Amino acid sequence: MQDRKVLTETQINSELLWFVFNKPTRFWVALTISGLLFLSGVTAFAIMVIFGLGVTGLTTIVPWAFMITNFVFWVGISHAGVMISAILRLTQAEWRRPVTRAAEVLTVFALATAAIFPLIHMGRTWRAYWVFPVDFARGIWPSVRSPLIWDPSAIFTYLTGSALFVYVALIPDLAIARDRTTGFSHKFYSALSLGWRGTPAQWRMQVLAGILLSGLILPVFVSVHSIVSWDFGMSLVPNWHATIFAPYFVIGAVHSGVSGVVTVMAGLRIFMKLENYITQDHFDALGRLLTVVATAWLYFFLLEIVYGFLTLETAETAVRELQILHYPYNIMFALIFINSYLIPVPLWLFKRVRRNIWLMFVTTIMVNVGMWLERFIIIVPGLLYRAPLTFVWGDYTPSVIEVTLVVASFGLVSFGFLLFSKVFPIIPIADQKEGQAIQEDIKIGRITVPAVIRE
Amino acid sequence: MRNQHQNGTNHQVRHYQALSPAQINRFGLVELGSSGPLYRFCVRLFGILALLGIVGFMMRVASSGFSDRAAWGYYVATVVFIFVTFQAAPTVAFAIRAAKGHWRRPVSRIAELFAVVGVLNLILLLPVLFLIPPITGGRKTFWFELHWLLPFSAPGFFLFFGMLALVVCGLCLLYLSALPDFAAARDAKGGIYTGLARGWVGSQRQWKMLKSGLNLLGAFYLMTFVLVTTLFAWDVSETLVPGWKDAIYPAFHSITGLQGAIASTILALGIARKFGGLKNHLHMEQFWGLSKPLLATSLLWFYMGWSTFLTYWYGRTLAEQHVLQLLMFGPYFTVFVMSFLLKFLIPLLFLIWNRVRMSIMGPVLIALSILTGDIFEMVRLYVGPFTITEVGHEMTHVPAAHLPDFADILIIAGAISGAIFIYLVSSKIIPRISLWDMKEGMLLTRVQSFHRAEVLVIGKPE
Amino acid sequence: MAEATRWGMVVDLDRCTGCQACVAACYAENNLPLNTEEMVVEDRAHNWIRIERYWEGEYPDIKARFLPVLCQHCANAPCEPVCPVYATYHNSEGLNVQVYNRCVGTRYCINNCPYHARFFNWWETPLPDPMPHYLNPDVTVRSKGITEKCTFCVQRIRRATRNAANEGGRQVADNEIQPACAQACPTNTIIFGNLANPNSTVSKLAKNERHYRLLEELGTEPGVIYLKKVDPHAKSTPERH
Repeated sequence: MQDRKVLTETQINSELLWFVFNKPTRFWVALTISGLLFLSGVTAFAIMVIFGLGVTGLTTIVPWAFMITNFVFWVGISHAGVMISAILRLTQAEWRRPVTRAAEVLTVFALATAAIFPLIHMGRTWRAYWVFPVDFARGIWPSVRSPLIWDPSAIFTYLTGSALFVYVALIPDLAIARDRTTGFSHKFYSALSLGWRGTPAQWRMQVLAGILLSGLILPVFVSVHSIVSWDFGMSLVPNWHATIFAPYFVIGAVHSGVSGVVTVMAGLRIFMKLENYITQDHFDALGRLLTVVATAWLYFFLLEIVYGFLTLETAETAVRELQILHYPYNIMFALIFINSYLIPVPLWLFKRVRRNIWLMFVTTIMVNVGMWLERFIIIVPGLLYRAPLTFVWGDYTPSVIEVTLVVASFGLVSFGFLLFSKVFPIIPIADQKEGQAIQEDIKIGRITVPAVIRE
Repeated sequence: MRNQHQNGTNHQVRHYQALSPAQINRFGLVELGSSGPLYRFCVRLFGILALLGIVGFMMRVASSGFSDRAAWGYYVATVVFIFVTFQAAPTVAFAIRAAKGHWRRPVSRIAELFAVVGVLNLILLLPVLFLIPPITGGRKTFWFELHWLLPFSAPGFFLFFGMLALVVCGLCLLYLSALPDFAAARDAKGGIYTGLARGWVGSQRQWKMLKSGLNLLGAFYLMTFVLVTTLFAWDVSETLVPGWKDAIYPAFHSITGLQGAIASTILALGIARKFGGLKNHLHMEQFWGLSKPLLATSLLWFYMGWSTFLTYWYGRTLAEQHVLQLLMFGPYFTVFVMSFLLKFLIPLLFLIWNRVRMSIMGPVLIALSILTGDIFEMVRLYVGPFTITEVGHEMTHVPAAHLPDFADILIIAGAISGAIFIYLVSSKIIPRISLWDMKEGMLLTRVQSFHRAEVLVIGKPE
Repeated sequence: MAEATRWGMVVDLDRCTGCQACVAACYAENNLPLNTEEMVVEDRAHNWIRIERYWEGEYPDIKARFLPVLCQHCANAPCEPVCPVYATYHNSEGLNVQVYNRCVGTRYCINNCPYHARFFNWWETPLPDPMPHYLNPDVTVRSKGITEKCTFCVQRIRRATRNAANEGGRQVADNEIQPACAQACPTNTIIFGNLANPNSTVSKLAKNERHYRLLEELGTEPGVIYLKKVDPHAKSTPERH
């Protein structure tokens, strides 16, 4: 890391808790906007429940579309947290420290939002609990053969795991907040901080819990998006029934998730004035990570496309033809490639771009536009079955309800994120201090090389 | 002990580099050109085996010619085996260099040296080009033929040039990485090193170019490796089998390659440490560091294989059932079980224990298991498909297992020995330890006290 | 039932005139919602059986080909394993059964049916007066949010087996059961019966050299067997369209 700022511990405490203890107008404005967006989604859902799913643009030919696309998209975003926190923690990447919590919180809210979508897209949402083994009275159980049973299990495991992940890392910071509050807030933080005193034994357990959770959540991390991909892969739909889907979805998730984190970090830095903590170095490091991830994603993307042609199966080539040549899918297809790779990655190769917050903000949003479309172009053209019973060919146009729900999901995630950052410090205070404590310098001749302490 | 646990971590500094710069240089340069009895024995042994391999090849040509594709299954499997293990190893050097692990310094060169094996494999590849069946005649692939240009089928063209690019890139990588060491050898010994180290004076600009060159060539090597694996997967096995439509297969094959790369590196490290006199350079730390990605790639191998299996299992179309029969549960069931055991189950069951990872014997034995498993794996992926003569969208019957004959055994043993022979010979020309890398590492590390514990401080220059 | 049962159907395309009587009969028998023009345009019409019409050849040498498509009651049905709540499953008589009460409306089965034989209730079934007075009391009117499909007129199968059991436990006779479509077909295109009984009419017809099954390469093993159109001038078979 190049520009290291040395901050006193008092300064770290006061700056990172400033947002928790103060109520700036911009916060309420942002909260209101995202809250209203979320309410529009609630309204749309109510309309769906009252009148039936006919209010959507779904048809018998395309029974899954926007809502499922959005579900996959948010599950993808939720892969950011673990990628940043667990993997970077296990590989001892120092620059992760201020980025971790925001990534984990993004994971939790993105995943919770994602979990809503399969539920509201069901014909009878009020019977959704039947996918859980709860019908003891009649002895009717869910079918474990169905990927739709694997789905809730995986998502709830991941949700629990990542919530724990956030919480365990939060405990020392909660204690700091507890010591600086009175009245109700004091009681609130006391209860949550579980009697944290910062004794060596407590620290040891906290570190151990962090490492254990990092290790244990990795398989869950891979399994979640694999299982989401198997919702498609286990079917017979041409293009969906592809062996590549599991790793392809996971790498796509990491691509869009890490991009999402960069977007959020840039937003936070500007919105909460965290220039001392979220520095250009972080964007630099994340940009490099993204270059690697994006290239791996591209490999899978190309494999998936080529596979459609390679063996010249009629059903597969028909889907490719639809995806690549026919309006509007051809536009989307081009956008996926241009937005998620062709423009951002060559830009990220330049250090000046990686260290430019606005450019990173814009390019990562582009990536996620591309990644949203990628999910759409996987889901819908396959369902259109442009083979072999030509009599039932159809098409799909989303309705206002579906568009509203998609927009509302962004409202919900930002609403949750904002509320969280109001109640809890969004940059890990204790981690930040630890990072500073193990910084060192090594002098070699006339130059000073930044160094870190390793056990 | 109480104090050491104050910060929740165990503070025992491991002095993995206890040598002085002069010692490193002297040791690294002395062994160049000189050899011990064990070394001479090994070189002779593998040389003779390699000659027997040529005999095996002649027998193969004499008995079946180039028209009988099925007979060449084991030959192709051997070529791909060398490709996904030894020839893959330089990717490890790039990966750990890019990850900036401080333990990597004595590992890089041992991995990069494997690039010389590429020369052998490029030659071994030539007959394979003629064995790839033409696209005409109903074979399903989207390539087009280039008959006016080539004596063999078009996919072979891309395969050959991909491989050529890989070999050239590997040799450049090796040369560039060894350049400062050649200069050290030139200063100490002269001889051929004067020519090899031409122009290297160690100016700041040269160092800068060396470092960015290593990264660029490394990245290029990795990407070309993945590309060539993809071509092997598509043209030499997948499209030979009607109904085998498996998008993940090239990536699965690349993961096999990365796993094989790490395994070959670990095995080479283990042998170099035990018999090659590198006890002072290689420590548990290197094996520990490499065993983590070894476990990860083993898990990924299973994950991608499982992904195929599950999709086929749910698809249940006739084409998919036949492909599963061919690759897993039919005539090659034993082979599949062996590769599953050796490449996944044994690595998983042992490497999940930190005790095994933090040892030297553990990772080395697991690496051996994985490399053995790779032989079975390549037999599974290539011998079976080479016996298929049908074309179209679906296999109608799965042919019986094709067993190796004496010529095949000679070929397998000979080709692998040839690879080892080349490696051994080159290790006497190029220092096996990157001397400059080691010395740089010593500049960047320092042991100091931190509160009441002793810690290692590692410099991380950009 | 003592006898092994696999209910199946033979559709002799050589006899089909594309008159749509089967479609109309199915509407009446199974309480389907009225397929308005709007619903058809939206791709939301409920056609438990539909006549697919393909044109073959170029004007003036042009021929219409008809292909009645309904739920194929596959032995290896792609819709079954994907349902999370067992709303669709295979019963012991070879029927692919849809349990309306159990369906939660994930629509995965609709995705996964290569024959497009499954339909979703996007709204509460619209039944303008006097339609509610004409409903078949043996068949449920499906509520919004669930999936439905051809049942091989399971209510008729049940009635016949019940009658047979009441009449001294005799076997159900061949051709005793007729789904609405088969009953309405003026040309006897559709024959229904027990494929597991080698002496039944369907079993005999199924061995006809003209037999084929729709999208056979998917390995779904349909219970509906088609008999190819007899046409000396035909250049290709109907399944290739």
